Amino acid sequence: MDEDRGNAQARDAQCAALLACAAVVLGFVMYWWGEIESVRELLEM
Amino acid sequence: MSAFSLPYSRSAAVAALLVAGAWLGLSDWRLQAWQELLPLFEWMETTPLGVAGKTWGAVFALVQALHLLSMALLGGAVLVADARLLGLLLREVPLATVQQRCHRVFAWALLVVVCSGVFMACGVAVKVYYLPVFWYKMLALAVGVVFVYLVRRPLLRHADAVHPWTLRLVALASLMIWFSVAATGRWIGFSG
Repeated sequence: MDEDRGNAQARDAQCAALLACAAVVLGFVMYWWGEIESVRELLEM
Repeated sequence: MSAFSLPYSRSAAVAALLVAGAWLGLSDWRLQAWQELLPLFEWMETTPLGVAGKTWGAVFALVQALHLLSMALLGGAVLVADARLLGLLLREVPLATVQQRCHRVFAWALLVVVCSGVFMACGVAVKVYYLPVFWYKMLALAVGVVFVYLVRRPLLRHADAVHPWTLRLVALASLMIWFSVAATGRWIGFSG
């Protein structure tokens, strides 16, 4: 019973981690991509 | 009885936070909240902390040095803990030992970073209020703290039961968050 609960909590923690990591990676890439693009435009000007 | 004892309640909490964040980012409410915060930032400059920060350059410099040293300590703790998760160093030391010791350093460093950061913000409150990068830093810091206590630490309690690549992905995301906190923080120093 305790083992089942431990496994369920591990699955929940893993699912939450995958959700959070996907959001973090997406946010990181979008933010820094935007900053790099603005620097590129400045250099072009 | 844990707050997250129901099936997939932690995942639901993370999903709810992501939806709330997306709504905040896309709605006009963000702009309204920003405008309503101006009196708070103006008041911050009139507090003893704000006056001390503006009047005595030496005090500001000392607190900033403390802020940067504790940020270095925090960054070091994050780097070591995440490098261990990625299998890049300290492989002969048990994962739990490395994570536990790094977290202790991380928690104290975070406390000093936040306290010294509040003091520094009081001295230049109106300046940082108008800097977009300040708000990006606050967002990154909030995400970092939530990530550590809501996602990373609970996952590491079950490190033996989760896929190794999940641990590596968490380490990578953690490095991305704290890199952003440090980079945007330094950017504030070079702005305005």
